[in-house]
Amino acid sequence: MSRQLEFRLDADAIRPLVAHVMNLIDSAQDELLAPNAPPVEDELMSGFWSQDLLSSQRKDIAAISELFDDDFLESGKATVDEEDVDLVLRGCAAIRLKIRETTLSKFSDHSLERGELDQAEFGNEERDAYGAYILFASLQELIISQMDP
Amino acid sequence: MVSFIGGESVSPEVDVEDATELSGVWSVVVLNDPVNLMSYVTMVLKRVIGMSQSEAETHMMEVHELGRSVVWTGEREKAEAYLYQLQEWHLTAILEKNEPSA
Repeated sequence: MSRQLEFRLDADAIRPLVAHVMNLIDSAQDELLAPNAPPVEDELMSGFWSQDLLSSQRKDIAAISELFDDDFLESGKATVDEEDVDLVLRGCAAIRLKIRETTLSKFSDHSLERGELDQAEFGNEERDAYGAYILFASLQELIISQMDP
Repeated sequence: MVSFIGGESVSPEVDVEDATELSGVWSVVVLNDPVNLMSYVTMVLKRVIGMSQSEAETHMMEVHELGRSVVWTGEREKAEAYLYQLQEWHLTAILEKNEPSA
């Protein structure tokens, strides 16, 4: 029998974070989010490499969209099936990369990595972005602690 | 040794050069990034490269502290397969050719 991981969050608190992420998702469909390059110089082979990665990334992001769907926003309850765990983990990573390179781009790697940010200086958008950045990290930690063999 | 006997418009030099360029020992190198969690990087190294928990943690710490870690070495084809999977997990990773020491 396939395992499931269920989690509950305060839907009212999460709604603006999810809204911020959904806006970013639209613009993350056509670009690879990790700063990687194909290992080959051949243009054709590089194209295949990048297209395959992009196709995989789209599936990761789609898994996040499905997780935080309208039902979740209503109830605050979400379920990750065992077979979707990889997609969700990768989707969290992709979205954190996107948040980092967009809304949180003005902050240094050092301060972000150590959580040393003065949240009093955040605007609304940065507050939502940082909340989402932490939310997706927590979700990854939760899944890894529960489901990583 | 590679040799061609006869033939018309083949381009043996190009094939030989490509084969030489891709032969040898290659390293798969994971580079540090400020976004991915330590626990996530450890899990990915276990899943993709097949490391034990302690091996994966050692390499993860090397990435974190030194900025890079060679996580696998071997033939080019397999190195590319590992590289693709690491990039699919959104880690920053590259291939490097191991040059024979003089």
